[in-house]
Amino acid sequence: MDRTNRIKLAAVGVAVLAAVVASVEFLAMRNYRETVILGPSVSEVRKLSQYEPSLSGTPNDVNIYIMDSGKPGGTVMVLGGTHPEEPVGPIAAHILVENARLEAGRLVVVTRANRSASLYSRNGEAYPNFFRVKTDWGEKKWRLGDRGGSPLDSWPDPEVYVHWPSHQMLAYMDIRNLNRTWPGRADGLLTERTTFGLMNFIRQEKVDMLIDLHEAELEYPVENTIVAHEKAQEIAAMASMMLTAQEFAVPIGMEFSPKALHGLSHREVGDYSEAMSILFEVAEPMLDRIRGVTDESLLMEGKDDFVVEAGKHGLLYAPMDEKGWPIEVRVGRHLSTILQCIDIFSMMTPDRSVTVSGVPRYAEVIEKGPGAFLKDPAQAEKIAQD
Amino acid sequence: MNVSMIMFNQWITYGYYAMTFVFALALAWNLWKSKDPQESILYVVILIPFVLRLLRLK
Repeated sequence: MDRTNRIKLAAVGVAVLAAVVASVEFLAMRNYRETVILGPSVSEVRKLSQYEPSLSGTPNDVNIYIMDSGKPGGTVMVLGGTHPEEPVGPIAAHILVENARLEAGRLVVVTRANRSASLYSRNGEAYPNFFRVKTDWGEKKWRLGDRGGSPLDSWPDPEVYVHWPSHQMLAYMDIRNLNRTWPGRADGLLTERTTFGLMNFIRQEKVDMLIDLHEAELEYPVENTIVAHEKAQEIAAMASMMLTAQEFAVPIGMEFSPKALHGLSHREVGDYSEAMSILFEVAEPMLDRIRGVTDESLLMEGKDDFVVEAGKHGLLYAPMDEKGWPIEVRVGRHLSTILQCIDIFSMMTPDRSVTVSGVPRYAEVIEKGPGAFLKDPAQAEKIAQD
Repeated sequence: MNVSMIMFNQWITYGYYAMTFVFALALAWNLWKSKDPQESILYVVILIPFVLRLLRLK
């Protein structure tokens, strides 16, 4: 064998080795199933394909956890995992499913709204594949996904994504971004069909209020806020005032959903259904472009010297110091905001009220950590997997 | 109508897999024929994502 062939063989060998290592990691993430303990009020777990049959057999045939009090009232729906690189959504959604006790009406939770996007990570930006929350019984592990659905489930992207039905032109990759494809369409690509299925659920089940959980980089102006459709403005404004006055160290604002910005849940769900739609944002330093080492501890502790430095130069839209934005603060803010919005909704529409207990608020989550509210699967009577 | 559009999208996806296969084959052929070691390494590096996508590992 001559020298060139020996080099070729060695190069192929190294490539195969690298591919095998990468593939093992990739498959470990794609095949990992997150365990959800079905809490005291979970009466039913439905599949999204019941509302859009073409999703059957796809990764986005997600679980819909229905907590029904059995008593008259309204229906509030919470979406976690719209953007899987924002981990507070799935954590808060798990805490709701595992702890909430419904005393009136229904609470519906989706823990992985765009499950396909949670099946691969953003390794090119050094994102970890998984994140963990410490609990009394061990660690609970989730997939840390990417912003849009996996290209294995939706490929190719169009040159330009033309949103349906507004015909607004958006970036090509947003065809896989769940919060750019509302209200969806039955004959679209996977993410469009996912939002179409969720819209069918919202309309058929007469959802009164949809809450979409998010996080945002501190460089982004829509931060620590409730973005509200016109129908939900009063609830968002009252919640923002009460939470800022009574609970949060850093104020939570309220913003109007722009009428000309299409594809987002806070706009389209309100426009194409009877439901009020609101979206929550909280600061997540790992999403900032100017961050330093990108790892699980940054994700969970929210501390980064580069982001602190950016704050000193007035480049951020949220306060940032050495304490950072730890996961308990972010989860606590979302849980309190959910509960506050439900309370205000129930007060304003008593015939459609939803009463929830058993869910911790901001101060309790900070004191005990989110892990204190995640149940041990080994002790659980009923579980489901995402 | 819905089913036909979804099937149409599926055919486009299959077309992209077919194109990926053709490119992978062309790269492998060039790797086989190349006499330049540096060029060979380049072909191997470029080939990796094509093979991983075909195997649905990327």
